[in-house]
Amino acid sequence: MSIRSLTQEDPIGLAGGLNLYGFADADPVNFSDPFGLCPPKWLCDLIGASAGESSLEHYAQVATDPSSSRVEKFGATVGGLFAALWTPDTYLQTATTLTGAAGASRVLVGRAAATTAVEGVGAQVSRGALGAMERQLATAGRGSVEETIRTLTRRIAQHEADIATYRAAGGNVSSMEHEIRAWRETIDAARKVLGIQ
Amino acid sequence: MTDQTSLDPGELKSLADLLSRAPRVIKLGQSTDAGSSEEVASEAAAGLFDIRKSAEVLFTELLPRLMSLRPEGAEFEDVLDDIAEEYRHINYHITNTRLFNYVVPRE
Repeated sequence: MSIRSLTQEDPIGLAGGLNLYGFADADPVNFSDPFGLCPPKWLCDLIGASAGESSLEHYAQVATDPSSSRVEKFGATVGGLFAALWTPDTYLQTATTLTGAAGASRVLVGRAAATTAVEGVGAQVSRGALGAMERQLATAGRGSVEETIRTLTRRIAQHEADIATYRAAGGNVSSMEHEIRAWRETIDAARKVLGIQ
Repeated sequence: MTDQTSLDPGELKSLADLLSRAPRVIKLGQSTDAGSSEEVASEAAAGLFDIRKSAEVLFTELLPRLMSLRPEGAEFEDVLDDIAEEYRHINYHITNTRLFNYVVPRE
């Protein structure tokens, strides 16, 4: 057996190519497929997935990236659902992974299928938020990350007060509510990199 | 971060109403993925006000404090952290304001 082959049939089935025992397009150094969910490499290239990223991971990143448009997020959610539903085996595998982090209900409605689960916190944190916080920890240290948690907590409280005021004045508060969700996600990412539950 | 002044809801609402009548805002609001023109306008208005608040904190408070401190001290580090938080806040609004999100490069 070659180490570039799977020891059992690829759970993605024929969608991964005619060779059911092929792994990561026979290029495990530059390409990986930890969940057995990635279609052929040419298809991952087509959807924009990078080396070392399965199609599901790619869709999760697009769906949770604040810079993604609504169309991109919707497309990534649909794509993530398809990636999770390639076969009954992979669907169960994906559902088990996501359920541990987000709860079965969110998996069932398909939102969590496009979200990165972060172990140890129980919260959903995008790769972008987590990566930013990891860079902050490396550059500025633990105290800086702790200060971010305090600052954003104050900012959320301020924004909640502003939302109440603006709503009373007849303003549309949806963007302000979105901002609060973003800060909460950043706080979750900060807690994650600090190892705080 | 210094506690910032609460927004003036009347001023913000006026700006949002003004923006919501702009042709490009109406056009964006009619596209399927952008939400209503009121949403687009409120988002842009709130973003502008928040950026203004952060800029005021940066230039009237944090920068003068930074210039008065020795770089080896803990307080200097604290001011750098405060500056980073204002940058984070400004960056959020630049990245998440649909009316202007074409300024953000994407792959």
